[in-house]
Formats: sequence, C-alpha cells, structure tokens
Amino acid sequence: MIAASAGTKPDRADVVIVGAGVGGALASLVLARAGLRVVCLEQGGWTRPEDHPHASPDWEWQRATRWSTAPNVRRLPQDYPVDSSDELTLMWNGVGGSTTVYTATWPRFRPSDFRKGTEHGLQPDWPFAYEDLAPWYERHDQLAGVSGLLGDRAMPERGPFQTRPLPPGSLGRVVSRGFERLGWHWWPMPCAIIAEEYDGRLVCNNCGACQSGCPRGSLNDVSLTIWPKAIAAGAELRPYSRVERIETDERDRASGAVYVDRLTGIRSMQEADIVIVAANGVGTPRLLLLSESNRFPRGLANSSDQVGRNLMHHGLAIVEAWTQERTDPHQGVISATFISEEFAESDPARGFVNGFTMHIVRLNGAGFQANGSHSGNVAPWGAAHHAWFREHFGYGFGMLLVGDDLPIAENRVTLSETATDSNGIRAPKISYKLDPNDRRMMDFAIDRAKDLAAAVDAFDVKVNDFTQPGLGYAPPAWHLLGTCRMGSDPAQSVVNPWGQSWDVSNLFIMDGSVLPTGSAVNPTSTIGALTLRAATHLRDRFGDVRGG
Amino acid sequence: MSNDAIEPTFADRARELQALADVLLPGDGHFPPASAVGAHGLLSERLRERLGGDAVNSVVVALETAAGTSLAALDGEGRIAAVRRFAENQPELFAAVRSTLYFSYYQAPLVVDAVRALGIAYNDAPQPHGYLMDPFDPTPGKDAPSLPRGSYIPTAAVTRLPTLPPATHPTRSEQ
Repeated sequence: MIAASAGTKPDRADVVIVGAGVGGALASLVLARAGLRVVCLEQGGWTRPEDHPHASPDWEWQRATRWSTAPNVRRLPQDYPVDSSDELTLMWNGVGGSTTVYTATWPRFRPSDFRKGTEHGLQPDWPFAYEDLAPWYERHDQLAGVSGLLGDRAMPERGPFQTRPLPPGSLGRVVSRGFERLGWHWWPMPCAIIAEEYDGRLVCNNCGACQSGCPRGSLNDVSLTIWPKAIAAGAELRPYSRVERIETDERDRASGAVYVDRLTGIRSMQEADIVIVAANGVGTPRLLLLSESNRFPRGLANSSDQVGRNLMHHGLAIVEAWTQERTDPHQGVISATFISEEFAESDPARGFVNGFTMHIVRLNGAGFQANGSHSGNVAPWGAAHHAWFREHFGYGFGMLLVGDDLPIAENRVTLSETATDSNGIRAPKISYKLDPNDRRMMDFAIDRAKDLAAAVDAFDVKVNDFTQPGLGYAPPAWHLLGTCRMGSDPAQSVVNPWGQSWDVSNLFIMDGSVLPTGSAVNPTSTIGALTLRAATHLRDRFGDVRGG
Repeated sequence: MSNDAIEPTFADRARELQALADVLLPGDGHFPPASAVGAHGLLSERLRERLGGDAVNSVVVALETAAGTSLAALDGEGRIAAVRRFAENQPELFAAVRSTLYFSYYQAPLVVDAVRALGIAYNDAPQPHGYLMDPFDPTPGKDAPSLPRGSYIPTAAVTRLPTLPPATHPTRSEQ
C-alpha cells in the first residue's frame, strides 16, 4: 500500500463519474457530447489488445489465473477483495469494466419483468414499462453492434440488428434438433459481437475465447467501442484513480469524489456539480456506505436503508451433455448459439414464480474441457484419461440455466470488518442465499436441461447446481444487480426512475445496482439502455439539476 | 513424514513430480506421456504461482506419505495406488495438482498436434487465426426454427397470478 499524500485539487468538472464500465462509458459519451466537462475516475488501467492471452499457448492457464473473472482469484492491484463465502463474485476492474471479459450476451428483458409487483408481489414493479425502455435498447444496440435475427415470437417486435447472427456451427445443428423434438422455443442468441463489418470493427473470427475478452474489438468491450468516442467528445478518463468516498456540502449535495492515484499515492478531491456513481452492483453500494458522515450516518443516499440490499445475481445452474455427433464446442463464440425462452414466464403450477432461460453455450479449449468445463465433469486421471478425452472433446455442449431470482433484503452488500483493498479501503462483504422459490425454479430448470440432453441422445450428462459441501449454494456471481434500486417510493428505493438519488439531488447511479428486478437474462443490454435513458434525461435538464 | 526423515533433494523432487505427472497422464499409443512434453516442469512453476513457494515440497511430502517411500521407487501399480491414496488424503491439494497439470499438458505443442491428428481443427491458441465457420443460414429449418414458437405477456396483459406457490424467504423485502 502506498501512503496517500496531502490532497490536491484538480479543476472543477461539470460531472464526475466513478467507474469506466458500461455505465460510466455511456454516461460520459452522452454528457461530453453535450459539451459538459466530464471527468471519469477509474481504479484500473487500460487493457491493450496485446495484453489479452488469446495469442499465447498458455491462454487457458492465464484464463484460470491472472485473467480469471474473479477478483479474489486474480488479486491484481486494481482489484478489491470480496469478503464472502456465499459466492465467487466476478467482475473486472479497469477501463471497460466487466465488458473487458464478458460474453456480450445481449437478450432484452421481457415486458412482464417490469410488472412483477402486479404479477405476484414478491418483487416490485418497475417505475416504468418495457415500452418506455424499448427506444433506449435500440440506441444502445446501435452503439454496441448486435448480431441477431428478427422474428422471435417470444419477445416484442424490435428494431433491426446490426449484423446477422453469429455462426451456430455443428453444435447448433445438433442442439436445434433436440429443441425441435421437444417442441420448445429456441432462437439465435443476440450477442454484442459482430458477424459482419460494423462501425469500423473487425468481424469475429470465432476464436471461442470471449471470456478472456476480445483483442480484435469484435465484441462490445466499451474500452474499444464507446470510450474512444467519449474521449473524442471531450470526456477525460483518469485511470488508476481509486475513489474512497463521495463528499457532500452544507446543503447535503454531493460536492465531488475523493480519490487516490494508485501510481503515486496522491489523494485528490475532484469537485463537480454532478456526481454519477457507476461502479457496479457491488462497488456502488460499497462506495455509498464508505461515504457515511454525521449527516448521513447510514451511508450516502441511504435514508431508505435499501443501499446494499436486494442483491440479485440470477439463479444459476449448468448442465453439460456429450453426444455421438461432433459439436466442436471449442470453436465459435461461447454463448452465441441459442436461447430458449420456453419457461421464461411465471407458471405457478410449476411450484414457483418467475421463470428461467436456457442458453446453449460452448466449452472452451482442451485444457478447460479436461478440467470439467463449466459442469465439473473432470476427465479421469491415469490410463482412462485419453479414452475419455477422445469420447468427449469435440462432442459436448453446455446448457446455462439463468433464473430470475427474488430480491431479498438480507441478500446484501455491507462493509467487511476484516478485508481491505491495496489502499486500505474497506472491502465489500456479501451475503447471498437463494430463496426457496428460486431453488425450486433451478431444480425444475435442471430437469428440463436433462430433457434436452435426452432429446439429443446424449451419452454423458453432468449437472453443476453450484451446491458445495458445507456451503450450500455458492455460485459464481457475474450479474451484480439491485443493490441501489430505483422506484417510485423514496422509502423503498434509493433512486428515482431517472437514477437520481432521493436524498442527494445531484447524485446519480447508472449501473446494475438500480435494477428493481433482474429478469432471467444477462443484464448488460438493459444496464446500457437504462444509462442512456438516464444520462439523456440529465443532459436535457442539466441546468435545473445543477442549480438544485 | 517424521521429523528425522531425510529432506528430499531437488533432484528427488523433480523425479517425484515427473513420476506423478506420468501416473496422472501416462500417454497411450497416440498421446504422449506428460513428462515427455515437459508438463511436469510447468507443473512445478505453476504450483508455486498458485499455492506459494513451498507448494512443490508439500506435494512431494504428500506423495511420499501416501507411498510410504519415494513414488519413483515404486512399480507402475504401486505408483497408481499411492497416487490414489494421495487423492484421498489431500483432495484439495490433489485437485490443484491435477488441474494445473491438465492445463500444462494441453498447451504442449505435441499434444496440440495429437489433438489435431484426431481430425479436429484445433489451434495453438485462439488468435490470430480463429476458426472458419459457415455463416448463419436464416433458411427455416437450417440455423433458424422451421416453425417459430414462443410467446410473451404484453405489458397491459400482466395480471395477478391466480395462485401463488408456497411461502418463500421470510426476510424478503415487502413490496
């Protein structure tokens, strides 16, 4: 740890943004294009294309270690530890945020996801409807570049995709026959990865290593797709800048962000008229809780006591199957085959509310597959190893089961009593248990995945329900949602429908923490759409918000 | 091992790791054994990276405890039995060794060649070449469903479910 020096005071900004992931990038783009002075503080640095492990023979080892998606595995200086035995929290800390290493899976939420309070009351209604967000989905897609196919009857009509779908390959043809045999919905998975030229970016060449990012820029890593545009518009991105608290003034308005330059140890106060926190569903509540003061003893923007609560990740299980037909699951975008939304809507006859989606996914390379891929089907050691490898390598596929988990008040982010980051700032502590409703849902989902495995005549099936001896359900937690949720009632939510704090009128949140519900699909498409909507609203009313 | 046991030399440790690697991945008529492609060398380096500077010694001690002697001194069946005991006695350490060895083995150029020789297009690394795949074919029944299925509930049609499932978590936020 570098000791922080005496403070400095950079020039005042119109807007300071904490976090350079999808929320910070899109907010910077919108506000900088309006001519505002935008400064974005990011605790990590840039990732150059050549930094990725894709061209190195040890790419799988790197993926398991320094390119792990889990900060508690990587333990890099820009990371902060996550104090939890309930899950393995996943994120990337650096310019681009977690879009640096995600799968860019790009489905949209469903209309009923915005009306769960009406539907069953175990989740809140959103303060607006799907139709209000739909135009912002379109704008986000135009920036991200999305591959897909129109005509999906499981979703509302939508605007055009930017490119055709990515190749489903032999895997797709094998699995589609199983779906057809069962009579279930299936459709090409929308992905923010381009299958045709778009926006000057290279077309995906199906290398299959998306989970270590994309050095080609085919995948919507916002450090490559959005940040260059935001910087060209005048936004200032300040990497290696770790924010330790948001300050407030005598009017209970945010006055700026105190941060430590991780390279020099110099502590500075970036003053601004507007503060936007976009540090993800763990980092944002952590920062608000760290910003407690005499005036805000429970943490900033937390009069509702909802900051950090209602953490959602999605219920998760993975079932893998191996067939007699070649699937070559090391080739092609890992998540770009199909999605089935056959079970996405609630049906109480199943014994649970909400629904799940099934994603057909690939399995990475030979080392990863020998080590059990996503399901833990580890190749035996000894004389049987090579026969197992011949039977399995090139013949498998995965069924990723993603369930809409309920927001539980005690599933939450607090501050750790013991762990700190490399600057001595308290780490987040996470408590997360799967609700019995969601356990029933995931068990049902696993049975349906077994149905699909049987429908393709699989000779081997492995289930990973992420239950561990002594720990219970302890999943990898990729989607960090709900911990500063938006709503219409200041007593039950942290921000209003525009991402604006109920308590601190010039403080905004633009990341996954504002989602009232998580749907049963990957959230980045929705987080970006929400950010564009909120940032544009802020832009159009900037004078009023600045004036308080 | 007892306190008065003779500390294994560095050469001993190398031989033990080599023997362990070849018990885990012995090779067959097509695939080479692990040590023949140098995977045991990467194993030692990566065990240190993963588990700390004393990791190799910990593995050697665990092996010799399971074997009752040096693993390398045993015959083939004896080595297999000893490694099985190692896996039972220290499952977490064994799992770390096995996964590290598998990653190390499958990156070896000769092993990559052996995978390719199975008739599978498999690159040394994902980039720069990637994989050539047929582009998406939208013809119904090809890469798209022959009969589109699926439905959703429009916003205005979302109503209260007629029944709810059994009670859920008691600390759920009230909404």
